[in-house]
Amino acid sequence: MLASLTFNLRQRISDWIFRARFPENPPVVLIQRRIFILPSRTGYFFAVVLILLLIASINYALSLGYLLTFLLAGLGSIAMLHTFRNLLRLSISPGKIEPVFVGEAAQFSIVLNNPTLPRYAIGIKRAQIQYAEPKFDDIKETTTATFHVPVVATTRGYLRCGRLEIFTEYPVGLFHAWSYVDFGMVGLVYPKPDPGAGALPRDMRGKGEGNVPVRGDEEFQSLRAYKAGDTPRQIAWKALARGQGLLVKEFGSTASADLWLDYDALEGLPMEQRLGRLTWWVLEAERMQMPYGLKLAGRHFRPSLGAKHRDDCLHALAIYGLDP
Amino acid sequence: MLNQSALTLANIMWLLAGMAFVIAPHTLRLPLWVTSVCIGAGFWRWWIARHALRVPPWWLMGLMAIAVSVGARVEYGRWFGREVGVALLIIMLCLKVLEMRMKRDAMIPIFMGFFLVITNFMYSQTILMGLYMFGCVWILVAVLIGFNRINTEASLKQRLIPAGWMLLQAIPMMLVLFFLFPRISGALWSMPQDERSQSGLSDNMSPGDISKLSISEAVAFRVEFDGPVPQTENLYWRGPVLGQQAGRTWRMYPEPPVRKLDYVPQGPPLNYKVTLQPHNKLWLFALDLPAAAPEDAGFLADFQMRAKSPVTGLKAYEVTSHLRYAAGLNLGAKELSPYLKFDTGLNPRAIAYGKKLREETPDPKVLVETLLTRYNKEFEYTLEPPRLGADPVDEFFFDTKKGFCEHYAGSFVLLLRAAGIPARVVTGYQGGEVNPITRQLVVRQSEAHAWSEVWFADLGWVRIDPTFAVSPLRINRGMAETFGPIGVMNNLIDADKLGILRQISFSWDAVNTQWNRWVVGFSQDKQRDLLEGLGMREADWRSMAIWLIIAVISTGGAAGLFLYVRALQTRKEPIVAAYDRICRKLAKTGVVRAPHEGPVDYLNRLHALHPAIAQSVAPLFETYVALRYCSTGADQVSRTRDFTWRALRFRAAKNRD
Repeated sequence: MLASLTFNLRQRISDWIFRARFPENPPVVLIQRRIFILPSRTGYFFAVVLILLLIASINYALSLGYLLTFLLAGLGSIAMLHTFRNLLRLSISPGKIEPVFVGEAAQFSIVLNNPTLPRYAIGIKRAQIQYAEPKFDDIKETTTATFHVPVVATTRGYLRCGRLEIFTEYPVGLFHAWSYVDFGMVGLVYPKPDPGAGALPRDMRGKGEGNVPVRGDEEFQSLRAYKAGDTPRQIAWKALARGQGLLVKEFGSTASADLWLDYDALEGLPMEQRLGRLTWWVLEAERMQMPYGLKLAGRHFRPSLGAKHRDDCLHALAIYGLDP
Repeated sequence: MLNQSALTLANIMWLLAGMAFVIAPHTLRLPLWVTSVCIGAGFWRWWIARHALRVPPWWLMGLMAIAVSVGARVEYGRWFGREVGVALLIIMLCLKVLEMRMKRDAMIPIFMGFFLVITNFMYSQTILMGLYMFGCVWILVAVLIGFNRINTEASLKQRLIPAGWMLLQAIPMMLVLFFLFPRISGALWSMPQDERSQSGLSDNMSPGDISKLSISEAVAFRVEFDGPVPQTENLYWRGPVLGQQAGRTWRMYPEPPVRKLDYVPQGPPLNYKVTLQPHNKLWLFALDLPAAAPEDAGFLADFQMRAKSPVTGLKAYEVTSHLRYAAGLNLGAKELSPYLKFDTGLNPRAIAYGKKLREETPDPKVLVETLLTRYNKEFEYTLEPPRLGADPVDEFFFDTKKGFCEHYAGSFVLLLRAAGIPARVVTGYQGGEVNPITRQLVVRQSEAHAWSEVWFADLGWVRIDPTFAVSPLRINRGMAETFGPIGVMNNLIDADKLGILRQISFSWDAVNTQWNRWVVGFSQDKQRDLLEGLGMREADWRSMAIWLIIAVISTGGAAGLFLYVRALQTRKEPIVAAYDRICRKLAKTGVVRAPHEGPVDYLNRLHALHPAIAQSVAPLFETYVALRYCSTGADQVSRTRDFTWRALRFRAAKNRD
């Protein structure tokens, strides 16, 4: 209850403070007015202990007890400065975010550069999620550390990690110092591969026959000699008329026995399922090293293979139908 | 990667070490079984951490907690009180350490550790204890830092150095608060007094029970005289007066408190200030005979000065005494009768001898003289007398004839009472040693003494010290000089009378005096004096609070500024710093590296203008490029160090062509 209240309060405060500043341009340097600091729960407990120590010192007239109490009180105030200093001057920039499939966790990498003394137990978590799992690391003197903040992707398309909280309680845990940063980092989420797609759609090959008809937009490539079994539709009647013999027209889609993955060919299925199947096939084709092309509502990816081609196709699938 | 909330073996070991250090001084007072429970719990905890076992289940912890609590109740006979409280705190701390599961759980034992530090101060507030406890706090803070590291383990240096730094930075604020925080005098609540308190003097005396007098070199009190220090033979510090003889034991009569002491001063008053070490008893010491009691003290009819509450802390008071006096001139038979009573059940030979003496010499003064002569001729002063049996005075006076002050005072008073002369035993301290550095008289526990007071019709109460008759040196020169081999320190001092050890001993005492004045004895009064010295007359709490806030903010601000400036100092990577150093040296040749210029370009430019220098620096540049842009090998650190060293030694000018 209390945790939830303080969380909401912090949210409100940070929303107010950063009204129109997000997203920010990297790198963000944590200067003193960006860092907030409050006693932690341990800190409040420590304050109670200090009061008890003071009472004991008064009651038993222990001068050394006073000394101890005041030494610890001094330590508490110094701890505030040390905790604050542990964040001060850290320089933060966004790192690379590898695309993931729906259901996986995208790792939003944040690069923290420490221009000065070593920092310990620096934590990063998503600020807008209560009970977000923090990531901790030390950053050695004049070095850089990369933090990976995981965000589980639930829908395809663009994934945002939102505002991040960078915090620390080091060295003595009496104070919680934190700062917010938001680079508007966006990760890409591919549709979840649908194993229901089954084997690669051989029947999608552009032979014209089959339950998925090939449309007439494939390009004419060349003529070859007629072989038994070629369909009469492919015979180049004009060439025959010119007396060039029985020739067969070869079209782009079928000429090299390439695979075309066609969104429209999956008629009757809901959009997400279609995208899931296409994704599955893209991965299957890549696995089987079978060149494939993708037709996705006006966007055509020529049959090819390789990581770049795959990523282009998956990207197109990921953002299909979404606002850019 | 470690679990964020996991307790690592190193952290556990540090915590156990910190606890052990804090508890150690208590083990001198704790019953053996409590110490054993602590050690057992510590080893158990270590074993759990070592083998990654589970902590004991809650019901077992509960049973153990109940068992040890009952044990403490049986041991101490009560639930509340200082001793039992400390014992319970220690046991609970150990059990808490045993059942820790997560890092968060470690905060409670660490904070309880701070509490235990304070309980140690209830028993000792010496410099050594202060330093030792500062060490303990240092370790506890180091433990705290270790627990606040996440994912990585802190090394010894990474624990102790930041902890030490933080404590050093906390010291200014500690001093400000210590001197300016408004002090309250008096206890907020009073705890039942423990009977097990120890002190140099006790309220009864049984000569013959102890066969070896243990002599403590602990300081009983210190005295500052307004004028010169009186002669040693006048330094009789009056403590409990033992008028009642019961069996072999001398006790105090329940004397009524009196407003004014009944005596006639016969000399000038002597003013001095006593700083008494805590002894948990009521009595205060003053030279025979005190004239006026301090505010929170009073007198008994037998001239004892007593505080209104037990002296549990360092107590400073000012007294005036008259060394020459006529006391108790107007006493009648009724008032004197208690001082004539003696136990007829034992010591028949001594009683018979006393009676016989009175028949032979009716004049009390001659009788006393006769007795003292006998002591002087036949008796021997020793700190290790034989034990005495059922009739201790008989055996001592007629057979063994060896003893120390208690034997002499006890037998002397009994013999006089048997002879019909009123007499009583007075205990206290005799003598003292002047510290030439502080000019203070230091009175130690080893100077505890017992003497007698005899009543004569024309003189009243007269102090007669039979020990003086046996060993006049004991009184004239003081304990330390008379009986050398009674303590290590005295041994050394005797062997090196005018040398450096004596000087060290006095200097140490001087340091202790300042410690007592400014730290242990810093009270509400001292604070008022200090503030008046700073120009704050009639300091009320409001102005004190303002001053306190100003001082705290300024010390905190100073510390903050210090840390902030340090945080702003951008550090270069060591390798870059070394490279920059080479470039600065090369710049003297006239070829200055442009800010955007890389090492290869710069070297090429240098080659064109100063080929010889370029040749000499080329291997350094190669190393730099390799270290900075290529290598991440295991020997990176050592190679960087080597590069830094070479950069330091590089001379551009020597190779100038």
